[in-house]
Amino acid sequence: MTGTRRNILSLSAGEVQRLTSAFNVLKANGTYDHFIRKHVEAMSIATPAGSTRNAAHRAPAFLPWHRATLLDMENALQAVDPSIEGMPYWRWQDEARLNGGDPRRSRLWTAGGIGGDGDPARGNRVLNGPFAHWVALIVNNSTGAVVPRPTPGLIRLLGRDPRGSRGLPPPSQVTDAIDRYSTYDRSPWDASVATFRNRMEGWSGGPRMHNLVHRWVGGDMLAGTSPNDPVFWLTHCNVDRLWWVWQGMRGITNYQPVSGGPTGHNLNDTMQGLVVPRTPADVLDINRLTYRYV
Amino acid sequence: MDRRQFMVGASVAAVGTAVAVTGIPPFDDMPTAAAAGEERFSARGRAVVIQKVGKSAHAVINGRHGVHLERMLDGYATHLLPFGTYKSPRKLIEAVIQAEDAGLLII
Ligand SMILES: [Cu+2]
Repeated sequence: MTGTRRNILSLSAGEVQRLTSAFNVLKANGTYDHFIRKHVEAMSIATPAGSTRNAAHRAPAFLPWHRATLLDMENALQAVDPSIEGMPYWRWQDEARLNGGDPRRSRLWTAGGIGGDGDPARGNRVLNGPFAHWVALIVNNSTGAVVPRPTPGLIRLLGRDPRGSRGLPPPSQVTDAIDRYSTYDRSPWDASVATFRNRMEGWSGGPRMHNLVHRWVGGDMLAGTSPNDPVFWLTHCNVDRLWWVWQGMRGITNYQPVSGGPTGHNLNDTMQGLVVPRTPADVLDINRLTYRYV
Repeated sequence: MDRRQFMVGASVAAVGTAVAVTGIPPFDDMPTAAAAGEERFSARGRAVVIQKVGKSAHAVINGRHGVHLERMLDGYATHLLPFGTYKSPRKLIEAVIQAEDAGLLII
């Protein structure tokens, strides 16, 4: 299938509704939960054992791993409803400016969007919108199982999670990452390096960028089960778009490590914990993956 | 999720050994004399023991199998709350316990 990925705020009400309906079909048939479990699995595979890296984070494959899982989710949505043009992206860096400094006022967080903030009087559950009834999956650390949360409703604490952050990344963080970091990644291939991947992920000089978005949404977006909240996909679609912008400036095949890095992160290694196994090399050129950003 | 992937690290094995060898008794309410590299405290009704070994640490909460912590950047990190670091093992465990009470995970 082909994807045309647009700014979610540019979609019509009907387009948003078709997207959220397709998410609901995938939630009901178990496909959506499979993606959550795979994300937890990837988060749990330390590369190698004892390191702070995992199969999809704090390491070079962060960007290609999420590009791959976004593509798989986009394909699943389009299999439900072929009229869906593609996964929309959420330009989180614009929301403060568009909403008088308060990104919680965005149209995204309405019943006609993806539902609002959690209700503090009800355990910060999201009580409106298309996902109001969703049962989240949570990790049981003692058993290693991923189990349904006993009470329904996603958890969000927009800009107010005590374990999170108060603000979304401003546009200056985006230009910093793209303009100032020409090296994709470098040894020791972890959270400590000042590289484009790590600036995007948000450890270098952080919390910023991707990590900061997770922390601003708060609640379910703070855990390894963060794909529970569909805003995960919109968030990562913007991360992926920004990587593609960078690739346009720095070279599509500009990926490190080619070899000699941690297992699962080299150019031609199979990335672990994906729904459809792929290598970083498989996903570098989005033209070959037949989607585009507009 | 395959938790063995976390448990195979030599440092974790060392923690397990240390716990067995020193024979920490079932957790009473609050710290008494803590062993070197060990911190005991209570948080939101749970008794916590943190053992630091090298670059990682391990926390046992209410005597149950614990949470693995890694030294990262200028603090500590966990895969349970993976998008930030915490200044100390104690701050991290307090956040994990808060997260359990908020319904985000089960320790
Ligand atoms: Cu992720």
